[in-house]
Amino acid sequence: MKLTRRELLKYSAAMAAASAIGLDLPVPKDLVAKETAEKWVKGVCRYCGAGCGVYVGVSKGKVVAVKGDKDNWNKGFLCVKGYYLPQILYAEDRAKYPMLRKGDKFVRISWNEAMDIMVSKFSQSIKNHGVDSVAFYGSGQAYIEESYFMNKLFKGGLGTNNIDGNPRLCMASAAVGYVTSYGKDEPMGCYDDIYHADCFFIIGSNMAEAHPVIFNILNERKKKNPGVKVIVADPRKTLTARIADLHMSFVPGTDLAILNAMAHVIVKENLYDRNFINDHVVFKTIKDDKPAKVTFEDYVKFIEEYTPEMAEQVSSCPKDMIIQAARLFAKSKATMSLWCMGLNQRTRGVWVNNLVHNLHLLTGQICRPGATPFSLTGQPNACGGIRDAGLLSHLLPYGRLVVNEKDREEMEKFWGVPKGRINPKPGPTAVDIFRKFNAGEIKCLWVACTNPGQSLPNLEVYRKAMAKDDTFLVVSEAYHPTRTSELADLVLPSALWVEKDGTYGQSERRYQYLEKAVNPPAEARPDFEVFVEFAKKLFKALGREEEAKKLFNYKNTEDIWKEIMEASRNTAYDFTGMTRERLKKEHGIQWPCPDINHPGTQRRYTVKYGDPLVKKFDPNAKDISFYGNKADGNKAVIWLRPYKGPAEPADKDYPFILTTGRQLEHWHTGTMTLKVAELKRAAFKAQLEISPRDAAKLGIKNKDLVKVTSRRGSIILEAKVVDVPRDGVVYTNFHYPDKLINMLTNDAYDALSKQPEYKISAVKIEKA
Amino acid sequence: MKIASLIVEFDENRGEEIKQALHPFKNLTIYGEKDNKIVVVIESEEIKDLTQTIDQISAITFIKSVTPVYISEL
Repeated sequence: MKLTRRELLKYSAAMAAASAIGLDLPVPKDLVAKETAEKWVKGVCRYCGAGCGVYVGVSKGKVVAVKGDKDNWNKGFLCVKGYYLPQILYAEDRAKYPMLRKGDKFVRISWNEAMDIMVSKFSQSIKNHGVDSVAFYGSGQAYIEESYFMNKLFKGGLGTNNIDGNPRLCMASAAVGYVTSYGKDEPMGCYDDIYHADCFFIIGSNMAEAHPVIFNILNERKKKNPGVKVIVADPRKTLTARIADLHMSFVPGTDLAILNAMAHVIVKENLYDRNFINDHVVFKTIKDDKPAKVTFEDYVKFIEEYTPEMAEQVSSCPKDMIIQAARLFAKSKATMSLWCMGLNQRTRGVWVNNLVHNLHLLTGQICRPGATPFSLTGQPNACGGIRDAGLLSHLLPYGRLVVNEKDREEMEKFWGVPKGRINPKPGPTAVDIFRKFNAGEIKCLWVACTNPGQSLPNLEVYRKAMAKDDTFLVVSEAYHPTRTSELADLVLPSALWVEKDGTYGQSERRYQYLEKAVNPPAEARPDFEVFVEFAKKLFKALGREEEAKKLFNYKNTEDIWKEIMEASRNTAYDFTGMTRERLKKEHGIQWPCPDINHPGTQRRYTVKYGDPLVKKFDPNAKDISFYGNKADGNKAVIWLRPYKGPAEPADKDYPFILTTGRQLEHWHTGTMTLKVAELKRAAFKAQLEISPRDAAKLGIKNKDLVKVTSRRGSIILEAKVVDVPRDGVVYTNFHYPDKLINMLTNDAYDALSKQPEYKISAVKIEKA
Repeated sequence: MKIASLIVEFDENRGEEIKQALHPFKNLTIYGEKDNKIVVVIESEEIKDLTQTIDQISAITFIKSVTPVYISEL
């Protein structure tokens, strides 16, 4: 019997309340996967960056059920979205055939016609305007094999860095934060640290809704160990904040002052680890626009002004809370920080990431079980496919940079392309690709597996760019129409999730193989196949057919996986031991994994806890070595980062701060979760959360329609008067395609990571 | 039909009494208990009935607070 809509809603409601108090609810029988499936295929959940292991039940050629993988890190648990995954494959609006725009309509064409049109448009553009007239915008949801291939085609094949991915919008600041603090990207810790931490510092993350399975582990840890402390720093009383021992509410954008003030307290009260600092840390600031080394004493002088009183004045977070948080952080046996978009989607995103790392480095709360700074990831393969494989306009695979001559030469040799093929200048980043598309500098743009027509900030400008007649937009999508595909010139139907095979890499450096379970609908095809065919035909059109034979000689994803493993050899990512055979059998493997017998590495940069690369890169290391940062003697960096406010603070004309985020039932732009009837019934519209005090001042009652206006546009939303956002802050979700919230958000971006400041936009609110 | 989940917080060691006191409420389901808090879900046709039920629960002896967490519409 099917779970009724009423039962599902009751369960969703109960789960939200249970999450808030750390109670595990049993999963309703109807949500438990049926054992009647003919076969179970191992895979990974399609949604967030947690990377929950799943088994996909197949019967009569259809996915009929999903259950959690008990042998994977998630121990068989899934969130409510995961249980309903089968429905995303059978939505009515699946894209089934290539569709070409003819005026205001789309007409069905064959794959051959689609490929001919694309190849003609791209090759003509390259011949007439050069390689920088074409671009690719990829996704943290594509498989590693797909992203690596497109990176090779553009950077190694065509010689343009006009390729970027949507993780630029969600993870770039975290990535640059790790690189600037430790020399290389990606966390050194893992989910297992949650079982060992005694203090959790959660900042800029509503993990109870955005990463529920990870949150449940954390809850469990707290439930079983009453001494475990949870600090949540967030301007909203989120479901996550409701389990906090200390909820630090603050004015959005002022957390740099708070974090420096915590460091101030740690130094002032002598809670720092002098030995750790001496052995493993250098201090840096920016002088004359360049990084410059300074001393510990300089740092102490720098943070002198960041007293708790000063931070309170700036942030409205009570000074006693700041002091208490600093003491809990420093004195705990093991402190784990967790953060997400609240820190990353900021014009000071890298700096605020650095400041979290500073706290760990000051106190030595790092590189041992439970002590780690851990960035949560938004998409299932933002780490593996984009950050690691290098599908960002400044990167080459596995920690290499386009600006670094040695790195370029290494990849040119590895790919077998002439020296000098890779452009040394970083290409445009996500927002700038669309700016250049608007300006006509980029004439052909291919968007795959992502929905920028809903997800870019300051959206109207970029939607206009995508809709222009004098440019050519190709969209590879599993659904049509989406708010992006509706603007395309050509839509290519994509296989989705387990309709194709490939590899995902999640937040804790765990790579997992997804086996193909079923065929895609009608003429939908795996993007990898389409990419390879396009590359060969494009090179033929450019008169480079022979080169294409060498460069793109892949029959399947396994062929390219072997090359990808080799590309990681002798890098800090080394996963040459992660063969397809192993990935098929095992429940994910964490890199580094430098040989076939290596079990994978939970914790990096430490000999004691098993990093096999420490001795390779730093033979004299006794235990901890931040070997990614050879230039600073394998030491990590504490940065002197001053407090700077957001690009657009509230003012008299726009007196509220709008912030956006996810809710439990939905994921990203809702193209998948809004196809699941039960999830859609449980949560079906965007609302504007406003505090009861602000609502009273404006005469707004619950469910009133309100007009929300930023400097970029207006939108009408239903008010939800609730004591969740702090006064002066309003909040909404970005999932709903009928309410394009990003019409309001700010596209100002971080100077280092180029990640836009979605989290802070000044708005005014009126009754509609 | 409105559906709302609540966290009902009560005085220590009063869990059984509270559950008994909640039993007579129509359209109320208890989902679980932890740390002197019970998760309940209530259903009603109108918001005012939900509010009334919350007020009635709040008035029960030994109940310290009733916090609505999630309200949905069928």
